[in-house]
Amino acid sequence: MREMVVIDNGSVEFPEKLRNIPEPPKQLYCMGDISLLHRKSVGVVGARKFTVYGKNVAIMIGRRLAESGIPVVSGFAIGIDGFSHEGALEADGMTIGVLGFGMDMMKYQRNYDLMRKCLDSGGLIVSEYPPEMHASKITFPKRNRIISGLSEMLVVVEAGLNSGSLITAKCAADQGRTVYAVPGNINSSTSIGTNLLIRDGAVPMVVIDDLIRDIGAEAANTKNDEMKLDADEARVFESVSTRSGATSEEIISDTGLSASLVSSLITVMEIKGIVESYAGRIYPGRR
Amino acid sequence: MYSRIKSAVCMGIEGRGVCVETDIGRGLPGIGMVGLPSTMVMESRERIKSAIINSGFDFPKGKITVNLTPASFRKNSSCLDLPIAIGILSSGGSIGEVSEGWGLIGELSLDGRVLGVEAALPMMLYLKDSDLCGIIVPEGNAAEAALAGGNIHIVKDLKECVDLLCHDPQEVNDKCRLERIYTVLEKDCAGNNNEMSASDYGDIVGQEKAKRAVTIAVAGRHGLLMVGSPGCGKTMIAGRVAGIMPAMTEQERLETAIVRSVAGRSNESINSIKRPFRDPHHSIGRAGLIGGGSYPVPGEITLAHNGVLFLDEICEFNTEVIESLRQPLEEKKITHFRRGEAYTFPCNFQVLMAANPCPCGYFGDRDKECTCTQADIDRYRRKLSGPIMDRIDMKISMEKVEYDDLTGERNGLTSEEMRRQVIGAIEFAKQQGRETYNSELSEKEMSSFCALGKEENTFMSKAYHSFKMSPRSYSRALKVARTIADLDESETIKIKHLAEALNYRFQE
Repeated sequence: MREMVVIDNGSVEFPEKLRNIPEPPKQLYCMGDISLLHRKSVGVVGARKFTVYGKNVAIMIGRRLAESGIPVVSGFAIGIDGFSHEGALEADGMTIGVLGFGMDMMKYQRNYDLMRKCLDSGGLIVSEYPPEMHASKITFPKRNRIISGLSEMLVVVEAGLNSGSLITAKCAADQGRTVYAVPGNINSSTSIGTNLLIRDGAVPMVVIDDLIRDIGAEAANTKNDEMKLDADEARVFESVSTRSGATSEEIISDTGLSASLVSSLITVMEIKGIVESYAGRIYPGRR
Repeated sequence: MYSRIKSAVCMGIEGRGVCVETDIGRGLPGIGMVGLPSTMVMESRERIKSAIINSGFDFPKGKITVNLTPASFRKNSSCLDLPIAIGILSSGGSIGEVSEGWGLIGELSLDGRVLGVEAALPMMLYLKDSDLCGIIVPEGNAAEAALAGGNIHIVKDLKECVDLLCHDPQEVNDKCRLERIYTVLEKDCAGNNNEMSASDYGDIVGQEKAKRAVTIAVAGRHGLLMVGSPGCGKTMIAGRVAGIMPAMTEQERLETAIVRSVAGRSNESINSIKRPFRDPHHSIGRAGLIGGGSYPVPGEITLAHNGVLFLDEICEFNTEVIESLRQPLEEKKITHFRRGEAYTFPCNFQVLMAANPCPCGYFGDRDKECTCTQADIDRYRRKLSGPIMDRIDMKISMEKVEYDDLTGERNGLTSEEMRRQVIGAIEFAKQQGRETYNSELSEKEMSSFCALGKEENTFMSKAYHSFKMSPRSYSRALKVARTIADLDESETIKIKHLAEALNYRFQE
């Protein structure tokens, strides 16, 4: 395990932006590269329960921010939080994870692998709690103010009505940070929270590069891979992209291809990353 | 006086010979019984006495000693009533000496009728194989008598049995014997004929992927798991599987009939023996599933022998119960040990499982919102992993069909077509020198039968990484791909076969 440093509220290393929030933490226990604390960064949060849409968006945001050299701040929870970290790590970016428990508890977490990867790739993990502190009902909502406090702006990717991400959004608003929310279908229970945020004044996050421009950084050039599809694959892809999540049966009836052919085409396209399957449905991939 | 009558009892699913020795000597009247009789056999003393007297015979006076040889194992069957009664009559001189060529089984009622017994078929087969010239069984076991073949006679009551025994077994008119069996059978089966017409896959609309998966599963005897929200047709798919399996061989029919006979479902004619379909409820216990009891009886896995075992709501089953399936799935038989005896039951079946995607059942459903938390779902899914799932080669997700599809034209696969494909694949595999089902291929067989070309290898290595597969899931995919290639009658496994097989892998 890496060495842990404690940064006091009064020290120069303590980030100014965090000192100015209501109820600032008294100290930060840090592991990893503490210079990240002073970088301009973006918080990406969301609910534990996710849809493919939320997962893909979180990964895309994480990856895009990382490509432009902006650290991603999140909470290492299962679901959207984890995916935003994952996206950033996929693009060899740096991430800051804010824990809702002491550092010693890390190894008992489901996302322990991800935490290690984060440290290995030069990221940072912080917590306001002493190492032996257990997670509890109070610690998670409280750490949310640090996630927003360390970020210049906050993106809520997917949130239901009672999601903790809404607490983070509230903290961010109280701290004067810009809150972005990813719009979703108005009848989806996993997007009600974000849609309500938009109604209440959050910025709808429609183009990812807006974040990068708003923070004052230069958006890296996008790598545009041409997708090479043969005729049958193109028909399958068309069916997948016109429906929001297509079942194999729907693709079979849309394309008129045989069940066996559709099954094998989907696998090939999955390997190429053109489509993705989740909970029995096929979605367009995030490439 | 002394007499010897041959009979048999059933241990597990095997008949075992028992010789009933009777001796009447001087002493206080009564029947003493030795040779490890169970309570059931001890009680027969009362039945026998009444039956003999009510049939109009004299009950011998004196001390009657009955010995059941061999004395080494416990006899637990009411089928010894008839041989004991005949032994007593013969020893007492009421009837003449009984030829050694007869074998008898049957339970007695107080009025002298001979009642049908459970597990008659294995006993008859045993007696038939032990070179007896004639076998007498109750009328109630006519169906099994017809199936067992050999010189088997059915009798209605003790009197008829005695009449028959006066003859030498060889002298009895064969035509009369068979006529008697078939008259009884026809009478019994008359009520049984309103059987439901077999359901067909053609009735299921818009589940072409599921049908394709079932075809592959049956052709290679791969375990199949269906995941889908309630009402999407998992049970309909499973219920029709037996209909697309190849026709039963004579041996398989006999095995199935034996299992049925032991399970006490004997009153069915030979024609009604089909591949069994068993779908135990998820509250079933371990003994119910794999068999058990102090005198072991077959469980659901044995009742599904040569047929289909369908475990609906697999996540609701007790984990321990499901885990007990591991060994029988591998070995195709289950052995129970009781009182120093080993009871082995066969259980070679096609396994199908169904599960909801989450506790509420609507995760991923288009119309209905799932109300479970992520933690609920994770906990539920954890049941879908572990050692038992390693025996399941294929997984598909299913979804409700739309109303338009439901009312639309029906031109999907029918059972007949699917069955033709299955038989074709099995025949093709045989031509290639593979006798076992593909799911049972050993590592060594796989390296020769599932060898991949260069391109196919590259494809698989790509898939291995992008799907984060394990060596085990890799070999499962390879076996399924082999079956798909068989269905395609292709000697080598091609990329399209691999790709389709990978579509049935376990994911998230």
